[in-house]
Amino acid sequence: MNVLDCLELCKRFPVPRHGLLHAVDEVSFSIGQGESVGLVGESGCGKSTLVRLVTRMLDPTAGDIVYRGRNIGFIPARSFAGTQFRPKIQMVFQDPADSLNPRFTAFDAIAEPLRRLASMGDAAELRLQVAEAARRVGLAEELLPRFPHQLSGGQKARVGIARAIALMPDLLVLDEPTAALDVSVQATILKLLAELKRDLGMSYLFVSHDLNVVRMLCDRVIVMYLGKIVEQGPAGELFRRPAHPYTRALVGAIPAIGGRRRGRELLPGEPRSPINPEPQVCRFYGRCPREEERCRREAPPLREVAPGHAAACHFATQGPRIDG
Amino acid sequence: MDALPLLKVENLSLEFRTRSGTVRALENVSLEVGKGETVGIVGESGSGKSVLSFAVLRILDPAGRVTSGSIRFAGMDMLAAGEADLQEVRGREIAMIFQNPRTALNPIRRVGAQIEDVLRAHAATLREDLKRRVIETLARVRIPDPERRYAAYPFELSGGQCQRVMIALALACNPALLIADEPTTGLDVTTQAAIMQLVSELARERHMATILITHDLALASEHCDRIVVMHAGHVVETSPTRLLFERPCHPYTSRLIASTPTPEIAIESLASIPGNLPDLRRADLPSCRFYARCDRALDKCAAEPLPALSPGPGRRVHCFNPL
Repeated sequence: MNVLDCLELCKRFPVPRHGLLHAVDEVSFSIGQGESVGLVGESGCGKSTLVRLVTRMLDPTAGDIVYRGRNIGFIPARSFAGTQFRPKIQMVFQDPADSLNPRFTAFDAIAEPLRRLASMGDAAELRLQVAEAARRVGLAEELLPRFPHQLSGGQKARVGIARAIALMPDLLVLDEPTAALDVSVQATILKLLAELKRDLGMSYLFVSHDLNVVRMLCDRVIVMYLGKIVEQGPAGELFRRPAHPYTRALVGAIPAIGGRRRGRELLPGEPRSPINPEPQVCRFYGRCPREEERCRREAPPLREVAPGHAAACHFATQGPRIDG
Repeated sequence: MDALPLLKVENLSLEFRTRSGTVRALENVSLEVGKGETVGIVGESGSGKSVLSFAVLRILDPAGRVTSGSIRFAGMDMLAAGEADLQEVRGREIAMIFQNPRTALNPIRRVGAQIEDVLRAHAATLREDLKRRVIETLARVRIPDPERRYAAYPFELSGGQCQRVMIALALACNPALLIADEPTTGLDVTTQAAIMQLVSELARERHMATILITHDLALASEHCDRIVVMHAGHVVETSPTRLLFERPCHPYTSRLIASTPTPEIAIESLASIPGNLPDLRRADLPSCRFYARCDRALDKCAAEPLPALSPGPGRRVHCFNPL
């Protein structure tokens, strides 16, 4: 059974005097047991909204969120913390500096979910559990009494991860967990995440703008553009042979050591407005290097181009290889 | 490179006096930028990349003090120059674009007015020509519909467009040197590619020299002729771009390259760098500031003054035990 199934998930925000902003539009995907799924796309594409829906901090407008066969989408976000599901779906936030309470020591930050969600009152047991979580993320025990401002960026990132795994969740949602870190620190955190996944068997939903990082850590990748999934498939294949023109541009835009990748296509213009999008027009219309008249009349649905690899483009075929 | 470089920083040392001690932010830093050349300064946060560029423009925090060394720009002694001369140079001869374009632009003034300010201050433009020149400038950085954007406020523009406005501001007076401090951090990769292409193109067209400050080695490798690697206020290595990646000489450079995720590398072989930057307030800093993190360190690395080796043409490395 999948850990998570999202079915035709929608989130629309009313924008006064303008209409409805379609942040997430009929998004369906699954995350299997122990699988790590990457979520990529440019800012404003709905990644963060999708993450907040999945972690149940936001209520969907329509669609289902199914956790291990049980629909949790209808539970209001405000009362979700009181359910048995909260400890199972946990999150690591983007900026470790901003997401830790400055008045909490590292110990308190890690102990908080244990106290609140596992009702762990016994001080000795709590100390034991916090120490265990800290050990798992490689956080030295003498750092536990420190406040966030006394910790380095990498140490703060470890506290954020320890806090999220303290309850042994099934699904860990990571929102750009290394974006604020230097490369040398990023490398250690990425290795830690790979190790935790192997040891604890958790599933990951990994949001990142760094495609090289996603490729390293994820089994499967979902590409979003303006609230829609435009392509999804196995990580290696999707990066080597992207089928959707947006994915091709995205992959081609990654800077590469040792000179520029061949076949870089710059995207002209700006994304279309996400407010009241015309349902019959492809979301990528206006920026697409391949567009034709048909793309304005008929929005392309996701369709398979290879087993487990789908793209939302009329002209999608498994593209030629992009050489690194 | 020309015989006489456009910018020459020599043995620059700089410190900040703070309540908790003196931070030796730069030590013996040397850097040359030739006319029309693009030089990358790479390093992690805290390595002194931005402080160096602020020193060049003499826009350092008042707590900062240059203790030794020189900065010469087009024959002018920047450290001895008076404020009036500096104002002539800033904006007209040396321009800078900053990391976060949204905070670098004035949020409550229209972007057109902000570009007009630069032209009025430096370019002796006739009043009736101002608006036309601004719209031309906006069109040159490929902002769609420049007539309309002229009257836009920064919040009405996307991050990429704000950065284009910053570039328009910086290039309004055809500077000889552009300092781009993390110009694409916080932008999407697709926008980053477009912005970097624009900067490279404009630099080539005008034969303008560029200093690209970035933490992204791959970005630097695509756009720079030469790269200067900094660590904890030291320049550890200077090299033509291709050679730096083919055969890094300094252990820090090599580690930095190996810790950068690339399409080819598996997570298991990703390197990391142990430890942290040393505390630059310490009185007993080892002479090589990478000493405590280095796996090739020798005893003398801590005590003796670092050598400047030249492992090849245009290359310099400050290390007793280079690769």
